[in-house]
Amino acid sequence: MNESSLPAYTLDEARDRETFIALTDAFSFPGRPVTLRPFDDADTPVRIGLALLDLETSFHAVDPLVESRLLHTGARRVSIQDAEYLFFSSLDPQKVNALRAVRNGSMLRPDDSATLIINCTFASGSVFRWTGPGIHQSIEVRLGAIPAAFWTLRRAAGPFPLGFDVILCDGDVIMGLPRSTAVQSV
Amino acid sequence: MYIATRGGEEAIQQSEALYHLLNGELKRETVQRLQESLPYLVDRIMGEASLYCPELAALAIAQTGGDLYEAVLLLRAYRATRPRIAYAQPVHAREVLTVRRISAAFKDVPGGQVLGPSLDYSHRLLRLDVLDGKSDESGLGFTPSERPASPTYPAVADWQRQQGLLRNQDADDTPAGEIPDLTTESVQFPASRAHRLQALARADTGGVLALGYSVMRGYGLIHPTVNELRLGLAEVMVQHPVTGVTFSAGRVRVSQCEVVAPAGDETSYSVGFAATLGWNEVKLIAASTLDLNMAAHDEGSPQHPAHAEEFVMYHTEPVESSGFCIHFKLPHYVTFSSTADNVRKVTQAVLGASNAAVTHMPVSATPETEEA
Repeated sequence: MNESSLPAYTLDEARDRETFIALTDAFSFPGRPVTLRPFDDADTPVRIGLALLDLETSFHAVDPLVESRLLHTGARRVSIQDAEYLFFSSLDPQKVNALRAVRNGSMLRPDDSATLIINCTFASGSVFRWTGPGIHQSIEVRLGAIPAAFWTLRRAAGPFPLGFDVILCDGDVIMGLPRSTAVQSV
Repeated sequence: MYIATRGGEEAIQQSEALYHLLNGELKRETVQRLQESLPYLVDRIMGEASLYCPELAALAIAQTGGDLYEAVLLLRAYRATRPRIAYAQPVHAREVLTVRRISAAFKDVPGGQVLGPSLDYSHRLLRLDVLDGKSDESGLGFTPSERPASPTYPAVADWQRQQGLLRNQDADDTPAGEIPDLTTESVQFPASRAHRLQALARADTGGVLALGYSVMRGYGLIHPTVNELRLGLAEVMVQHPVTGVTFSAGRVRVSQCEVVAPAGDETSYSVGFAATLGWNEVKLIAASTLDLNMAAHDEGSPQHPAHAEEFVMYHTEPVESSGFCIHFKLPHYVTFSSTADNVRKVTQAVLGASNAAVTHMPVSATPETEEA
């Protein structure tokens, strides 16, 4: 084994690896903010897409800039109902309505469901109480720019193990919201 | 019942640190030495992990102190995070750069028997003199042939098909992206041919041998003949995503085995097949024998668990089987407490009944004693 026989550990690979570990942290501890270390000019949803998408995954991105970056992963661009990963730069009631078709898995294949990557705000907005696996007793989370209809849609996608998982983003901070987390408004 | 353990964090950290301390420092040189000196172990781990990278397999072996199930788990976890960037073209036996190709069916197979590297005919004697400092010269007796051997050899099965001994079989032309993938989807039974071959390719060597040996020894439907056993190097041919040009991304060590037995109607032979990354002869002979037995069972009812696809595929999976086995050492306090409560209740009930009997006995015994 000489050095030249090993593939180079590229900056892209390092970035994707760090993003992946941050995502596992975020889903292990729902509601706990995880800050991504800055790497390059890729904004957070694109970084998440670059870490998760490949030749065998499908995605839907509302923002054409995000879409064009993610097409380089080889992932298939598909409609909302077929997408495994959905990217929303912002969420409004109209987009929430379109999300009714999102995949929520089946009892035999609960993993056959979607992951939503949504931009929102953590500093302002309504306060919610989250409970569930990975949360000690309960945690209060402030979230802005998420329409109330989204929470109704999320409840309707269940019950567990059915549902979809969400990665919330605000700048370089992410928060995991797996389907196993119960959300109540305070 | 599974419960989360709380506390003991420092004890857990110390336990892990002690494990690594006793295994010695993990160094690049150690990994390099392992990769150079234990190629068959590295191959075995790469096959079971279904990840071809000798450097990483050697690292996994070193990092786990040689606990092979842990090493396979490390590699599979790493593999799961790698993006798929292209699909390689199918590898044909006749194109594999073959270093060893033998047949137990016919001595004079086209291309001849190619022994290649093997310990098959060696004396199994420990080289104790090496421990006394004597240098190992066992490889020095090798003399390269003046005329290089052919790099490729035809498939024995192709020749047998021409002879009418094997039935023609159409190649499966499913596009690469649509081939069922055991590593990303759950298995349904009866399993697809792709799932079965993938399961055998990444199966635990020891597990496959145990079940394979059971059908060879006395619980089989069929006596297998090794039609062809081949070790070689396969070019990984992929298409460039932008230019569309097909090129070799590198060579990987591969092995494959075919065993045959007379088909049910005895007008031809049935074939059992297995292939894996790396060179692992014993696993492939056992796996292809299991494949043949499972195929025979597909046509009837199983007479032995090792004929049943579901039994074989589930119980030879190294990560799931070892993981399930070792999870039993994790806290099962609630389960145990529940059964212990029951044991106490039953014990007390039994004791209560026997105490009642004991209390009663002296009453009847007393007269006897008195009589005595």
